[in-house]
Amino acid sequence: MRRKLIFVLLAICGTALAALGIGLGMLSIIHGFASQI
Amino acid sequence: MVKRRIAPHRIGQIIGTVLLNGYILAYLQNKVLYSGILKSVPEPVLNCYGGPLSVFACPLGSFQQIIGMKGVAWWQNVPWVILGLFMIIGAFVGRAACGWICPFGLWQDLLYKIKIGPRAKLNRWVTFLTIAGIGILTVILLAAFIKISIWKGLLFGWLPFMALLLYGTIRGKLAPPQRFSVAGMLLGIVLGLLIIFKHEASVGIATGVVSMAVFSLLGGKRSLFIVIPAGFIISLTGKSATLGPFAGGEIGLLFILIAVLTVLLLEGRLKLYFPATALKYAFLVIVAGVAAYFTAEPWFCKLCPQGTLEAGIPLVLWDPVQGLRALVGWLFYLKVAILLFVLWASITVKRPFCRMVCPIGAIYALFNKASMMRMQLNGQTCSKCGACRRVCPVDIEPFQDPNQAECIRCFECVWNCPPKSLKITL
Repeated sequence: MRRKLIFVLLAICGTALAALGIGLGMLSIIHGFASQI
Repeated sequence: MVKRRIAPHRIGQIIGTVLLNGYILAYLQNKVLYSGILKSVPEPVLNCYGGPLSVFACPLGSFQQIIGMKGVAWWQNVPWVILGLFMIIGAFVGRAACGWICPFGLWQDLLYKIKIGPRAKLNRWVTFLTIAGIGILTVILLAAFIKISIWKGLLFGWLPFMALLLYGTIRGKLAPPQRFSVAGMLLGIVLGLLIIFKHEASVGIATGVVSMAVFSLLGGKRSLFIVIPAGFIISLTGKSATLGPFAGGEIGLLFILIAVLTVLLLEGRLKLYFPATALKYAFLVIVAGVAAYFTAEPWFCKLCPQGTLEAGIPLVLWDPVQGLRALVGWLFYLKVAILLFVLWASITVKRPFCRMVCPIGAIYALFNKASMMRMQLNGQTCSKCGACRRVCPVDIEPFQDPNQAECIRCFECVWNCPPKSLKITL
């Protein structure tokens, strides 16, 4: 039960972090770095 | 039991490698790099975004670039998306991306299949001579493209590699180091700092990273034989700098004193060792974290063997912008040397890079215990025959703990367990 709770928390936190990052425009920053040598 | 010709995770690795490196238009259109929308998307594994065939963004490269940005708001230095991606994947499948998608994992798995050692009998010498021939051809090819001397290439690249391979051919597959010494790691870092202080920052960082890895596995006491003369010579050469009341050779003596005291304290008195698999956390924190933050440069990428294989060497050979070959210098040669060492290590040890170096694997490993997808062991039917360990690409014993941090979730043990004691659960 405890493990499943940790999994749910991790999944929610991960999704929230990724969504926040996308909202803050981090994808375009990553694109800037990844498109140059 | 039906013997499978190809493991399911191998199919995943091949598909992953092709999908992550599928930009063949690079060669058709003579473009240096793909720069479309997919380059905004971080992939879940180590795969250099500087490679001409690369489609997505390497999460570790992006991580270092983001935390190293200067003059931006604090929240722009937080790799939100990368952390979120690691957390989501880790929560669902633990370290499975290492086993099922990672191209560098595939290269290491394939290299380990090369038969060397006494068990391979006559075939080992055929292998040895074949690799020797391929090596000579590679040196000739590189020499023709980047205008290095063939003799230097043979002497400094081919010969050391063949000497290592000869050792492996005679001794056979090797067991990797079991522990790393904190004293050895500190010696490497301090040696790097001394070079930064007396010579050049970039040389110091690169040397520090390499010596950190080597000395930590070699152990502090044995490292002193290299560190003491090297430290003293470095202190006598380079810029004329003072450190408080110390100058020139005095700095060297101070360095030697600190080095000896560090070893005596941490190895002699405190016996401070960690499992060798924990070394990848040092790479994550010190190289991909601290070094990238303070220098604003992705130091893990600069030395990454996957980057050399997928980006450094292909770009130098191809040189689509007519100027990359002119940039070849000491760092390129160091990268090639690291790649050669990792290639040799992968032939003799199961996935050495994944187990001891990869920072992405280090992050995923944290989630293995809590991930949704996991393995379950039936202790009553398990006979501890060791069949699981023999097929395991990272050489662990799933019957000790099927969900240990080092497991890459390839499930080869599940499919090869004679009494079917291991199963995949959610």
